Amino acid sequence: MKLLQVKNLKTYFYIDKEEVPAVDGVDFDINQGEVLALIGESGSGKSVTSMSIMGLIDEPGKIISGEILFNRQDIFEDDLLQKSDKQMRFLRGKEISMIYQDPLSSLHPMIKVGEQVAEALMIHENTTKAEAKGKAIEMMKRVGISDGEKRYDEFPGQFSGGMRQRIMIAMAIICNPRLLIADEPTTALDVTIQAEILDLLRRLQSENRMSMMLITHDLGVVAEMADRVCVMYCGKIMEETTNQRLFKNPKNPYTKGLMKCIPRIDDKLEYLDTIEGYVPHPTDFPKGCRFSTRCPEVMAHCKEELPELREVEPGHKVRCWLYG
Amino acid sequence: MEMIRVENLKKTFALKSKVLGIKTGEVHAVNGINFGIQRGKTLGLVGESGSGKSTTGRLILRLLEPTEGKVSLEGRDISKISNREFRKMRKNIQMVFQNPYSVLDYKMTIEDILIQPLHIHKIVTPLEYKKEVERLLGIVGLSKKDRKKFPHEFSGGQRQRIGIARALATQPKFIVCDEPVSALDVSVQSQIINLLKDLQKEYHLTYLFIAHGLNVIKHVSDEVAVMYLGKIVEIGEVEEVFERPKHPYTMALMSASPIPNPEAKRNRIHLNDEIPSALNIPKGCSFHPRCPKAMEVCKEIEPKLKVDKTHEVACHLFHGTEDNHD
Repeated sequence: MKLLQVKNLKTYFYIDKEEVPAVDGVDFDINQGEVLALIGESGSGKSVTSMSIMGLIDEPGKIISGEILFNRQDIFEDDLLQKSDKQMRFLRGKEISMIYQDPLSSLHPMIKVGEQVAEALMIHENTTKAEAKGKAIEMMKRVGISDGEKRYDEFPGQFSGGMRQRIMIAMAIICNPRLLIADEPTTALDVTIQAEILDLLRRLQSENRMSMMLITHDLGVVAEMADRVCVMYCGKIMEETTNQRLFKNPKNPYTKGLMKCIPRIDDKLEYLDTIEGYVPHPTDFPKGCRFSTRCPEVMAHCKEELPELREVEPGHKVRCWLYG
Repeated sequence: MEMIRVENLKKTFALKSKVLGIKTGEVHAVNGINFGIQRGKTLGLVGESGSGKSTTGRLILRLLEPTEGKVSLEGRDISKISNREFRKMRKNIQMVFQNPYSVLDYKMTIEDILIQPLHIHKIVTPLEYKKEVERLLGIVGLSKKDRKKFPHEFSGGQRQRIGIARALATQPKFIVCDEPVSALDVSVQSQIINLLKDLQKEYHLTYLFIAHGLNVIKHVSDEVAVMYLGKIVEIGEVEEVFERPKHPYTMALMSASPIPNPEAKRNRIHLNDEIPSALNIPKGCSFHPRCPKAMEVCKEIEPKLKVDKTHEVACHLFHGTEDNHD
């Protein structure tokens, strides 16, 4: 069952009279209980996509077209883009939640962490303060803060980076949302802590049958976490398929390049493959395929016309002229 | 020939009370480390935040003054010499930083940025500046035309190339690379890693390569040292350490490192708690509160780095009983 459908989403920014097409016609679905990873480099538009879903795009950004359909009572009546700020506020934190890369800047430094965890309950479910406190402590324990009672009254500054990320996760899922958007949830953390947080997210996701949209630039994290993957480049989805297929049989030259240029623990090569050149600046995207300036398999046609995202095999979509 | 040797290097930061100005505590950021790097080789220094790996780099370059210990370059002690004398040596050791955005002066053209070290260390005569700048841009893969541009006109990867060109301007023998690719996009990382390796071969450079990503360390290093709370807990040849890790911390670090293969088998080693604060380093082995294999002796006695030709480890699991009491 589809929980979220994003159709032809375009979010542009207008800076110094220049148009920056950060997200430029993105389509994807997230199924109930599924982990969809959005992978891409900086400037690929993955974070702007998530902000658009959350209704957090502000000046100078603007959603210029598209639909974001959220399935609430098994009917796709809700286009999130048509909702008022007030209606979005009701959805955020209850139906859709988000965790960010940097927990320190997302927590209020002067409010007790326990109260920050309990806040969403008091807003969305009208629980009393005492009841909310009880549930918040329970939630803190579920995310691995074992002495929740004691730590309820502490402040974010008293927590380590990994513990703060646990607090963020507790805040995000206390109302049992149906979709959790995790934007680089472990990028700021150490490797050993990252592993623990990823385990925690996977456990909570399956216990709550929650859908998750995981945004990352790390192929290792994708391999461990995702069911399906969308590869983004310069505001467009270049390839979309299952986790297994993506790693076994990547089709778009950009995806292939990414796979080959990361150094791996499990092999030894003298030289790494590279993707030549640099990511083009968003005000200066090439005509035709966005990857045509760097693509090793580029053809004349690629520089003229942008390929569509086409299904080349069941469950495997590719945006590339090599396949169509 | 050994290019650099570090002996019993220590750095302690004193914490002072803001009100009274008296010492309230000490942070042992680097707590007695030893290693050497052969000419033309790379030592990878890996560890999590707070392990002291960046401080180590800064101590070698004397960007920080060591509290104790000795650093020698080609057999000559450079930690005790006067600042004036050190400045003459300075051109031999350089650094490449993590963030290419913040280390380049945004008001200077690339040419001026590169002329600065040429001028200070009198590498070439002023008449040759232009030619030398063009040569430097060429070897890091930038175009001659880029010389009049400003840093903001470049992408992150190109800026890191400028950072490398600046380090090379003084014709150094030894370069500390402090997380040189961590801030870069995945598709650009491999370009910079390959460039650093090419330059090493061409100019017989010696690297201390600091990174937190095990995959990057594995790829660039000849030897690798694993740091935890200011100490080296394991050091050895890279293949040896990665294929037969001995220290429980190294093993945990490797098991936690995500592998880009959805079908990879994972035997994750779970660690208790988080890294203790460097303000309050546990007694005995500093890793014992998190170690899945901790024994009684680990709480009391600090294990020494056991000397072995290719692979050393500081852990009681690998020490005979006689070692425990030295």
